[in-house]
Amino acid sequence: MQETNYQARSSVYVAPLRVDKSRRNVGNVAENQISEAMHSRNKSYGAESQSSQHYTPPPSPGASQKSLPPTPSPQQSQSSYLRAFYPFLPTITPGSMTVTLPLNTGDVVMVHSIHDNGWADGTMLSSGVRGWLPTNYCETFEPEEMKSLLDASYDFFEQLLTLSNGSKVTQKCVTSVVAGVRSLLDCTRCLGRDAPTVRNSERINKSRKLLLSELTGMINTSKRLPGHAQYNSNVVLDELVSDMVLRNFKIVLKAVRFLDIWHNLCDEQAQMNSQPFENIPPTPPSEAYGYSNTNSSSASFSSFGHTVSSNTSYFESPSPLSPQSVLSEVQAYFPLNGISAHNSSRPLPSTPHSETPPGSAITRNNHYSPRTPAETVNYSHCRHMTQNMNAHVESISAIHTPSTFALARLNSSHDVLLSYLGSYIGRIHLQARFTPQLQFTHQHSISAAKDLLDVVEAVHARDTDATALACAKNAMYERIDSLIAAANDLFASRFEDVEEEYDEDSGIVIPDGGLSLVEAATGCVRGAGECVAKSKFVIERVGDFELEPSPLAIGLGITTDTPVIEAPLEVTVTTNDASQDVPPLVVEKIPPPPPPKDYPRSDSPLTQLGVDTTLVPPANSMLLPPTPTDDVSRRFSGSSQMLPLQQNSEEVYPELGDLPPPSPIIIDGIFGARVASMGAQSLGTVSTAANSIRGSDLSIISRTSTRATTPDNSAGAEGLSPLGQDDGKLPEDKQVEQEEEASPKSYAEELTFNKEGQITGGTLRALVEQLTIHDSTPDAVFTNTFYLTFRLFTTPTKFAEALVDRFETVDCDASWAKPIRLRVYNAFKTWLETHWRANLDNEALKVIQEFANDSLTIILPSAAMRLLDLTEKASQMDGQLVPRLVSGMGKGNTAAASVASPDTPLPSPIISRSQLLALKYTVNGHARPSILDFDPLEIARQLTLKESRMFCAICPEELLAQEWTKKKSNIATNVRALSTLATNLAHLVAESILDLPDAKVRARVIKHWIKIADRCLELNNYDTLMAIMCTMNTSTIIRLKKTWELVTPKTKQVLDHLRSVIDVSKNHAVLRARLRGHVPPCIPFLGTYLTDLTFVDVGNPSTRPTSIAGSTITLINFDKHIRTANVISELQRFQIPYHISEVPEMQSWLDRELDRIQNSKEADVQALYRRSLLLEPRERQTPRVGGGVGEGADGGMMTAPGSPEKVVGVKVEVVKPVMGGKETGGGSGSGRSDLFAWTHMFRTQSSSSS
Amino acid sequence: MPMKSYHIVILGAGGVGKSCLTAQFTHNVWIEAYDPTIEDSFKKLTVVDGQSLLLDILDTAGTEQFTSMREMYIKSGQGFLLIYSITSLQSIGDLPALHDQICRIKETTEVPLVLVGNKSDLENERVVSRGRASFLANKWGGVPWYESSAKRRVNVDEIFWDLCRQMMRLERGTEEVEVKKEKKKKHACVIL
Repeated sequence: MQETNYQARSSVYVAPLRVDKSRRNVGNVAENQISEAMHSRNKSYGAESQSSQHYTPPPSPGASQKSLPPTPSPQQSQSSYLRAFYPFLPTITPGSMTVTLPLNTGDVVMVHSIHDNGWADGTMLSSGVRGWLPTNYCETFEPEEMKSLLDASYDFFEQLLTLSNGSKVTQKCVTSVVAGVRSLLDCTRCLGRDAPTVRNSERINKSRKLLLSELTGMINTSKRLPGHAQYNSNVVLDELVSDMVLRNFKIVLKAVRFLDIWHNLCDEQAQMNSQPFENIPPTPPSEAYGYSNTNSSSASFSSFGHTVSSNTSYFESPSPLSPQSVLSEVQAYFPLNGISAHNSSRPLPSTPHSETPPGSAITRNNHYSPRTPAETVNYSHCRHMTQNMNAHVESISAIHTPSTFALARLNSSHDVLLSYLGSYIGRIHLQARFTPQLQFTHQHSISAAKDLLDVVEAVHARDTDATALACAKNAMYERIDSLIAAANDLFASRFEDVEEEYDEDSGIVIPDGGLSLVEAATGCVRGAGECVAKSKFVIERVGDFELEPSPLAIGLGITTDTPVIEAPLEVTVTTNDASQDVPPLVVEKIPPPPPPKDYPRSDSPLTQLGVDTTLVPPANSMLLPPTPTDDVSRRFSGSSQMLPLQQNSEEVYPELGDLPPPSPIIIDGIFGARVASMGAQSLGTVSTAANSIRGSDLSIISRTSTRATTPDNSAGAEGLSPLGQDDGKLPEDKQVEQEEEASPKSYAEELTFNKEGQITGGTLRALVEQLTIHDSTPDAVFTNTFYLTFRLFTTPTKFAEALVDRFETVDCDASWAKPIRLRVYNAFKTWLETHWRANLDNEALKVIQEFANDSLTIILPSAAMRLLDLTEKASQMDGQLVPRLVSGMGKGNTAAASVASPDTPLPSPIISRSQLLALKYTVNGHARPSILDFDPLEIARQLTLKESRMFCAICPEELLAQEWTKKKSNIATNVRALSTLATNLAHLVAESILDLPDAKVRARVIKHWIKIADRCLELNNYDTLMAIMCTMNTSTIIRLKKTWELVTPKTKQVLDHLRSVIDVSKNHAVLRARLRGHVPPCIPFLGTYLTDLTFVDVGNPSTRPTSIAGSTITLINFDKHIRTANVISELQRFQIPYHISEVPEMQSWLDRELDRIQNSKEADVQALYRRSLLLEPRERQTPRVGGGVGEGADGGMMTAPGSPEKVVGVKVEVVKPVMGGKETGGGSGSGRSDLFAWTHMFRTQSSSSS
Repeated sequence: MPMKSYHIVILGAGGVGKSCLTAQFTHNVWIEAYDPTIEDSFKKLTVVDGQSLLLDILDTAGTEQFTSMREMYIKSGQGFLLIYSITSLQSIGDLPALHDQICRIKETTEVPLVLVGNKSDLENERVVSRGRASFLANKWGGVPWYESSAKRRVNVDEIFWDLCRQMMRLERGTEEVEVKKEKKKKHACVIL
């Protein structure tokens, strides 16, 4: 694994001035030194052999080979780029097969390989021309600042040219280029528009703008890349790809230019200050201060201090030491990170979480804990690599002034978040390993996101009616949630699979190359953009306002962890409730944390990190002033109450993944908030209004994100503390004891698994046992599937009884009794809170209440109270207690969203005032507008909006057990509404065409609908596309040959493409392939899901027999349910609302039209066909028809027929020959009735319109 | 001999068990679980009269409410199974309209087609008499008519094979109508 990874990496680099023993040189093997082959790249051959012919390098230019410049030492020469320092003009020999590139000083060349005679095969970035160039005219180009961009660009080049029609690859490449540019700007401290460097230098500003606009250009181009391979033609694709490559080159060039200017500037400054600016990569301690001071902005450090000290003297008091000495102290007590804590039983020295430069605030707030000598040694060594990124992100954030105004705050917190996410994505892409560094960035991204959301919340509080903002905000919460979930998944899988190979420094190999993480992170970028855009909109409306300074610490504040990051949350919500009841501070009681060893490994460290918030390490507590103000005391007292439990249980019940190890860990804000709110709950405090608004939002997220994995912490704390104290005295003994004990009684043999380890079958009791498994975290897919589908294989009562059984049969003395009981309690709780379906599940209430009153009260009294409370609520309420998130199925469904355009405002509707007026007038009986009056894109948008609302409203329940086909059931309302809409729309399309007597106008309407369908495809609205295309494919429309003759070939070409998209063959292969590559928002064609669900249901038996110990027993076929859940979760993946502004007039017009169609008896397939026959009869006697109709129809404009009688009259004339031409008597009869129907229709129309 | 490929479309009201028939026919018994979401889910390699055939079966079960889609599905098909349930009068009542639609779209009455009464295992609940079904089959020009049970796998393969034969015959295009009718008479209803 590691080796392949290395190979993949090494292919990125080309050693300059070194023989590349590639196939190209097969002809002159003699020249090659075989020994050097070991180092040559292997993987990039594909790229070369594809794009370059086998050129022979020309003889060395001018000088002999002896005068070649000294080869740079191979160690440092991993660059793939050269830069000319001397111009070179090749002498062009006519007829020569070789291509030699002319060089100008300063040209940058991407090198593919270097021949040992000194010639390099390279591509000139400025022209995109590939050819040979003399290396002795060039120098290695590898500035530290641009490293990631250069790497990314090389990757980009290789990937795009080698294969990869997959848009995912492309997207990944684009993402990493973006990250590269960001990192460059980071390194040069020019990330923000108002960074001092940018403000002070016009040249920097200009080149930065050029660079960014180039980047935007590329992103826009990348959007045009198809979602999958089967797009139009390869030619188009090729063009796009080369366009992308060229644009990428331009980006690099602009970046080079930018860097040059920056270097110049730095040199100038250095001359002035006699201080070399750019040689301070790791941002030394003093610099942060100096920097902010010189800018006379409120320096980040002081502002940070302010943040805290507004209520407490947290930082001012602790030490009279100078900042420097504090820093050195911090360095000395750099904390352990979470992972290392879990793994520290092994001799490996643990890596600190971050390599944050001592100057930044992060370290300052870390818990102080003694470090082992080994760590001290290790610390310095692991600092260097990703330091730059972090350091600069830090310093960037430091630059931003934590203004008190909302708008400024919004902007700066957005910037900070983007910085972190940028480096996050960049890092994943570069390493594809979950290193501690990455984890660090992860956490910071999340706390930055939390900060941003704080601002957004504040804005939202100003204008609670801003639903768009609320949507964006909630979407953002989900996206963060999915980011956390993605990371959690990663950890979960990693801890299950590879226990041995984990290495602190290299981190965990991310299985899919970090794709899910990248997707989740880009989702966050987008979500943040939307949030900010919406917030700005609201701010514009309500006016900018001042925020409290304390809750929103930006800049350095954002990176602060445990206590401080929560303080803001608490400050805003703290009332007098908790602090008064709570004893001041019980710091002294806290026992010192045990030495960081022998911690059991948890299954989800990230979850643990969150929970760790509550832990107050003693050292840190010592720093606290004796009289903390309420917010701190409340928090601390809450956590200190939990402490004894955590320590005991940690030692004794390692399987309780949710209980934190006592090691201090940097935590993220959201989890912190969650734990804080839970802590508040457990203290029995009454939430204030503010608390409930804020806290609930956050806790929904955190609860869902950890729902599957962690039992309720507060309950655990309460319930377990006394018990924990009882038997927690000799932790080590206990642990040994536990190992010796046999495992609990289990029904595990009543389970079947597939190759992937997924449960495929089991008895109810075995499944319930899995749901409440004590020694690992329950699998999220399993849990979600279970709650979604259990009513299909058991009854709520039986499920409740099985849970009670599980609780009661466990041996009371066994060490696993408590975790199992907690899990049972949590299973009930999850069920009641998020999966309760009142009409079905209420039958189980009695069982649950009895259980809570009897068994649970004895063992976990407070949990029993809570459960009773929940049953009370559940019996009264309809629907879930906790509103379910869109991603009810977990697994980071909502994660992905397209990379680009996070800041795009709502597109403004393409509709003129007169059009709006026309739409309004229809109500008052004026002429009906025609679709031709409106822009196809706008109609597509409004249709999409309409569908999207219905689609997003579909609940999982509607999709189970073919619910939607049951006529009597009224569960599947949304599915039915959507199918009705599709049918009505299809008929509307047909009607709008058949309504028109003039073939020319018909052709125009057809063209218009095709355009609308095409726009729907652009909007990823497959459902509407399908509805329109259905009509275009009906014989009713297709047979109108006269009309089609008038449709332009171009339109027909579009139609053909659309047809290929919705092609039904091979089980909708084309459609499925497209959907796989899509990111929401998107409306897939619902029909495929319904068919899939039907077939999963009927194609898989409900039970599966298995033989255990000779006898055959029947298991529940859980695999079937997992498949069902998978289809549903695939559908849910797209349940994200569109970014489209509504045009109410058009919506109501469309509604009226669709209603009219639904109520009209004419919109029946047969009737429509008859009308088609009337328009263009079967017989070939129709030239008259077209002409006659054309004459009769008032010039055939698309507004409603001016005088119905006249038109009808014309029709009747036309119809007569048709009737005569009919073959059968039956046909004639139907023709006649049709004739009347037709006139009726016109009458109804005219009467309805007048 | 090159492999022939045919498109079959399964039609019928919701709840008549057409998806069961399709699943029974296409499902490879060696594979434990049935996954309808992959491209090959509805492909079936079968040998009829010594000729290997690749059948691409389009069964849009679950989307009966999308009536407007039906025509598109019909367009893509070469042969059709019209399925009703012997326990539902309405399900057979829906079929004539479907038959009309097929004939109209295919612009011929000579469409390879099989009429299938499913759920023959539920004899106790029968409401559609055999007479009514065979009358309908004759009215349509003597199309083959079967009663099947997807549940017990009775006449599942047979209906598909019959359809295949019709499609092959149509493709050869030389067979006389006479022969066809003779053959059809042989296909008496096979009952349990």
